[in-house]
Parts: sequence; structure tokens; C-alpha cells
Amino acid sequence: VSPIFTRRWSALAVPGSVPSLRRQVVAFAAGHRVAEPPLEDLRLAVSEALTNVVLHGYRNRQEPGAVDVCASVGADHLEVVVGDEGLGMSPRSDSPGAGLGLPLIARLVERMEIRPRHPRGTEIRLCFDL
Amino acid sequence: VTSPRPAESFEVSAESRRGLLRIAVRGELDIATAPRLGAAMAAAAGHRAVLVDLSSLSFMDVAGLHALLEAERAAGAAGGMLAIVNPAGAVSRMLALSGTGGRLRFLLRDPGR
Repeated sequence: VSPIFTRRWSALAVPGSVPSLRRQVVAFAAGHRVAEPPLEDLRLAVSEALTNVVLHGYRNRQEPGAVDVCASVGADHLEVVVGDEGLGMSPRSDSPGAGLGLPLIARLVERMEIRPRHPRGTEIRLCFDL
Repeated sequence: VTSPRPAESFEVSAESRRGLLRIAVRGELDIATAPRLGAAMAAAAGHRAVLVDLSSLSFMDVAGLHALLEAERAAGAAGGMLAIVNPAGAVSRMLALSGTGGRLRFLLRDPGR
């Protein structure tokens, strides 16, 4: 059985966390021999997932909560889970992203899954074949 | 929970010449940097045309694309028009994948080059 390398990050769900986490996830993947493709697709899909949390995850709160990321690289697959402890990915009528983020993610990844977290929150799972 | 790291270098420069405002964007355009493109559009007033040069833009996501669409709206509100020149690499691919290219005006030939 090939080893699976995993790393986790957590940050405040604020705009400045998006480039920072995006770069760290891509650097982790590149450090485990993930190359083009799908590195550029990973960069964009992770950015959209993180942005979704910043825009939607805690919009009912005065203060933002956390966004956490877990990336795993195996011999033939790469998986990134982006999660929040708030409202999750549900679209809103005044979305600054104009509702384009999730459809774009769907075009970039091999598989995608959005599911509730317990006791609260939402996570999106992005899967790439290597 | 960690604080955000400082952003990678991102620059917006604007140059006005004979009614044309040329805005060059360098680095990564996303939710963290998009407000700076919006701020640069304040210089669009009084210009017939705004040219946004993306040749040095290394990354753009939907938040960045939205900033470009907002910039186009701002240019129109100021009585001018906005066009994009020189999208390259990952940015060009993102524009194609997002299916929103038709909402922006592109110049195939950069008049400033």
C-alpha cells in the first residue's frame, strides 16, 4: 500500500487567508511530486473553495470563524477538503462571485462533494486523479 | 488558527495618455487583492477608454474576474469603455473555463506595444 501524505491548516476566514492557504496547499502538493496537470487546476479550485468560505461561511456573524484545509496525496490521487463551522457553501442572492465559483470547481476536479459537518459547518471535498 | 501571511507582491499601475488609461496588473488577482483594482479604477473618470493589461498577471480566480467585470461597469459609468489585453497562461485558461469571456471586451492586438 502506497503511503498517503497529509497536512492540515487552519486560518481565519478573511480575504487575506485565501492567497496564503492557496499557496501552502499548492506548495505541499508540488513537494509531493504533483506536477502539471493538475497543479494549476488545484490552485484555482482551492482558491474558489476558500473564497466561498470567506464570502458565505460566516455571513450571519459579526466576526469570521475558521476555515480549515486538509490535503492528502497518495500514489494516484490528490484530495483537498476545505471546511468551515458556519453556514457553508449555500449561494446568496448578492454573491460577489456571481455564483460562478462552484460550477468552475466542478470543471476543474475529477470529483467534488459538498456535505454538512457535525455538529455544524460544511465541507467541500475536491478530488484529482494523478 | 493563524493570522494571514502577507500577500505575495501584487501591483496595479495606471498610466494616462491622450484619453486612454492603461492599467497594468501584476501578481495574483483574488479576493485579497481585487479591492486594489477597484481603487485604481477611480482614475478612469474622464477617459474615453481603459485598457487593462494582464500580461504580468500570474493567477486569477472568480473573485478576480468579478473585479474585472466591476471595472468594466465602472468604466462605462464614467462614460468610457474597457478592454482587456494580453491575458496569458493560467489567466487565459481561467477566462475560457469560466465561460464569461463574452461579458468582457478583449483586444487581440495591444495598441500600446
